[in-house]
Amino acid sequence: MDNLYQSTIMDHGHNPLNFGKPNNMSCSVEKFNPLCGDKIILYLSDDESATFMFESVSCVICKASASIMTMVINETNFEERQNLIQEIMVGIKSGNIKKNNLPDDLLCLNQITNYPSRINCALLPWESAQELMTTI
Amino acid sequence: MNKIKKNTFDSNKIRKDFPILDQEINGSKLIYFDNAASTQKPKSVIKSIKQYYESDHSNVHRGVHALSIRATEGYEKSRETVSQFVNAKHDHEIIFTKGSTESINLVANAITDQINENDEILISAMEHHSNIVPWQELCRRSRANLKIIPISESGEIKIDELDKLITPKTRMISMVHVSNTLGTINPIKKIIDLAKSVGALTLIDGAQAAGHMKINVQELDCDFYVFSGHKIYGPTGVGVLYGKEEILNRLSPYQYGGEMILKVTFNETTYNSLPHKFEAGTPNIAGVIGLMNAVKYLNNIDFEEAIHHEMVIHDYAMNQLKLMPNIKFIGTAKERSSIISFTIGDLHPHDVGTILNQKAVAVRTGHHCTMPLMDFYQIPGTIRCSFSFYNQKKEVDMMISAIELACEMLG
Repeated sequence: MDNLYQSTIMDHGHNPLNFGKPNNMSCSVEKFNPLCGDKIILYLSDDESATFMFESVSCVICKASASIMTMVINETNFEERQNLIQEIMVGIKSGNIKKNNLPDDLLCLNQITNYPSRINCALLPWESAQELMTTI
Repeated sequence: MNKIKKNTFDSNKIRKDFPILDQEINGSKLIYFDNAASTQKPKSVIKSIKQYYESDHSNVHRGVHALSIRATEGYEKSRETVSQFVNAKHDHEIIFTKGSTESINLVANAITDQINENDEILISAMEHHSNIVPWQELCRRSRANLKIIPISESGEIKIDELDKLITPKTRMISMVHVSNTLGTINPIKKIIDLAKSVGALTLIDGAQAAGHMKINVQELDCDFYVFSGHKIYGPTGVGVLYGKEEILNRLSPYQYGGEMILKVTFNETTYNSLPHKFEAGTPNIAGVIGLMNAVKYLNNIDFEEAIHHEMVIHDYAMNQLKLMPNIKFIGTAKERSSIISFTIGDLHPHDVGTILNQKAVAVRTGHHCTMPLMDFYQIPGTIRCSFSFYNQKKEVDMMISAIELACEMLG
């Protein structure tokens, strides 16, 4: 078996970070993948940290991608988030996410490009984040 | 005592007719269990399409030259073959479309001017989106009401409830013959008879039935029956609408243009007779000829034995799956076709499907275009294996091993 269900993906898929709803929510976005039925709700907390949290009924790939996304985005300055989300979405599609100073876990998403039918599963959380950032 | 039928069907021999099956995916021999999505094509179908384009192609019903005559003869011969396949009374009751979806859309559109405010359309809770959305749209246009016939947990129509839902306002009952998700074979004869008691029309979506059982539209006495070519071993992009002559004659045309007219002036147009009234524009001639050869293929094999073999594989798979932990069958109707849907604990079907693909096992995962049915069972999707007469027990064994691997990796 290739590297799709490697330990990093499985760890995030089974024990996702920032899973749940913040007590002090400022806004949220719900997105749905009509092809497979994956559903995600992404929340933004209403405090200085502007933390992303999420809830989902989804496959391991979507959940892991969401977990990693919140890990990466929550550590990024609010002003830089939009560009970073866009950059990583391009990276997921091409399998060429650059590490820069970002967490190592992010790089496991580079495998998704080898599974074309699963790219949308990995992109759904990032598309949600993109939408959320534009609605603020 | 029931006589136990011996399975004498030679699937090894049949498999030689389907060249696509002889290949490896990810280093393992392909196991194709996605036949409800689309069946594979026998050599005779592939050859007929090649032959048509290499020797006989031109437009139909137009030219006086040899190629146009040959193309027209092939096209109309197919209508005759399909008509016999479903035992229609007249060949012109067979309308060629691009598939079941277009066939249903054709009826739901063409019937618009006969549906009034507060009329009722009935569909079941197990319909494919293609047998939901066209009726929703019709009801929106006509201010009619869409009513849903409920199903039981086992995935069977609640006939008693249907009795209560049918009223003198019911204009149409449209229902799937075999559920693409659950495998349930619906008691459509009973439902057609009930519809008749209030003068309602009936449309039967036979996409998952034709090719898996004998279809006899005169015996069923339905008003419309639809199916797709690619699910009965024919090409994609071609399908069939059967309609009773007198009902089709009452409908307005669906699309307008060439072929479907008798006379056109800038002031007025008169329409052609059946079947041309519903076949505007140049049709999918090669597809229609391919479909004829798919039907001929089914006519030439021992169809009864083939279907028996399919169900032997189905029963074997069901029994093997039952032995596995955490398997939940979605759809356990008594009367069933060769489709099995299931979930495994809380594993997401897409993850299971991806791992099965690594072992060259092709199954369908997801909602199978039946989202309301997924809501009913409160699940995001299922893993669905659907069988054909070219499948074998040893392939089921390979699928079971692949599922065990998936459980190990994802658990």
